[in-house]
Amino acid sequence: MTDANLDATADTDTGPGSDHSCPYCDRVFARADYRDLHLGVEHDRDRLTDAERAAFADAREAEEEALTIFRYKSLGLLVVAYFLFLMAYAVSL
Amino acid sequence: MADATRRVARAVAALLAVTLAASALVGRALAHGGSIGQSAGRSLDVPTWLFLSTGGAVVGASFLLSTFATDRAFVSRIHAYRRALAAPRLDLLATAGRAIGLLGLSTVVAVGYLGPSEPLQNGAILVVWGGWWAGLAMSAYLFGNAWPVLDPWRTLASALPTRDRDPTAVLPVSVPWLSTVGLLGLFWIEIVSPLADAPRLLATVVVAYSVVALSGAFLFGDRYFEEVDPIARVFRLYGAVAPLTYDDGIQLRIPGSGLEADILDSRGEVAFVVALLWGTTYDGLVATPPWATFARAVVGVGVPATLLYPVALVVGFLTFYGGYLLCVRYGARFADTRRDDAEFVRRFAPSLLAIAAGYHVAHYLGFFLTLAPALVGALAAPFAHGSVSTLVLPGWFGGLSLVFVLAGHLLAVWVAHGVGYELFPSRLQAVRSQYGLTAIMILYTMTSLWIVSRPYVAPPFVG
Repeated sequence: MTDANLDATADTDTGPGSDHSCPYCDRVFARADYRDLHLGVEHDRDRLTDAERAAFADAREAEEEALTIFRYKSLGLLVVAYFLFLMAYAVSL
Repeated sequence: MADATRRVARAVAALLAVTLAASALVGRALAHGGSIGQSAGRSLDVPTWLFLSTGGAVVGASFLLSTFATDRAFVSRIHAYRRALAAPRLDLLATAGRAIGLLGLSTVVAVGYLGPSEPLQNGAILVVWGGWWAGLAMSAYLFGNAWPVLDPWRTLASALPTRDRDPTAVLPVSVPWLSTVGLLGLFWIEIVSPLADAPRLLATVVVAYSVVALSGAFLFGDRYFEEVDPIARVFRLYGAVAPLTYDDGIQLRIPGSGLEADILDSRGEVAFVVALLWGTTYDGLVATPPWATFARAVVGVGVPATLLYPVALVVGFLTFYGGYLLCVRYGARFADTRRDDAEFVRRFAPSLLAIAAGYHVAHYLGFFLTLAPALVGALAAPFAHGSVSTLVLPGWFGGLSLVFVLAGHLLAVWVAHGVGYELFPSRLQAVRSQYGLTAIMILYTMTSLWIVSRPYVAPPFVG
């Protein structure tokens, strides 16, 4: 719990000193969870340490949640746009 | 995984459903919207602002829908799909292609000088504008790029001596930028000169271009065609859209998936892509009534007409290019990334080629089909002054051009989605990185839909 909180504070810090680099390649990330995702997506998962695999699983779960929320927002936006256009066509035809 | 695949399948089905619903909305406008307008004086039932915003909204909505495809494995499977096609005797095919290219060039020059002076009877005009710039260019993005084989200058150059210099070392300017300027120059010549009406002039321009190409090849060898020649570059870039590609044999891939690769090496190559997109747009723009009004007003105040066209071409190019850079760079801020801006600019630019292909087919498919019988006739009897037959297209055909413009944009949105997934570890980051790009795509769509829906008038002060 405390660890998670610490991580969360680190993520929001976006100063130049807060770069999170990948231990296996030369890529640098603005947030720790981006680096964790990168580890699982770009590198062979068998090569990762247990901690890295766990971090990837956490980051992946958080990403899925954020994506779900984003999907709801997109869907809402599409519905609103659909009705606005429906109304615009009804008025102008 | 099965669950993920099902989700994706559902998302794709939803995408199709909404696209169809949206096209039904555009339907009424389509029914009246013209071709690159042969029929002046018709009107749209739907007010222009609503018609344009519907087009923009279709692109925006397809961006939102593309974000529903969140299965990385699915996106990269589509991207990486390749299937080798068995083609017997490719060497024979290539030799035949080279012979056809040489035959085409000699036909254009001979018939241009000696054939009938009526443009629709002259094989040179029909081969260059109907067969090559409309037909062959369309085949490059719809099927695959055959130009490296057909290119008569490349075939001729391969038989001539060369000094094999490095163009980047010899030329004092950036080579891709030089190529971009060359492309804009070709668009300018195409629009302001009576090349489509005067066979003798066309043959002279072709001879002049041959001299330039052969001298370039003498200096730089094959690298002239790979790096300097704007025409070879146009065909290569159009070929990146196509489903067929050559990589140790002919391979089949999903259309547009070639655009997700890192195919542009520098800022100058990005400029070339934007110049291709803008040139095709400009070609349509100068044939609209508002342009005619504008041009007459500007020339009325005393600006020479010879200056108006090149200045408008350059200003428009800079606007498109600046707009692209601005939107992609601004969009990169949403992604919260340490990646270089220059990388975004390079990686997202190929998606614009799908849009350029959409504009090109909207602009030229009707033109090509109309002229096809005349082309066949002129090739069968190059020096005869017989009657000319052209194909008469049904009225609804013009409406297809709006569909092509939108289809190009939808493909571009999908390509950008794949590129975003490749660049970023977080899928939300990938989505956010495309905000700026989607904004500029919506603007491009609305611009081109507006142009395509105007009636055709001949550009004033040219020819």
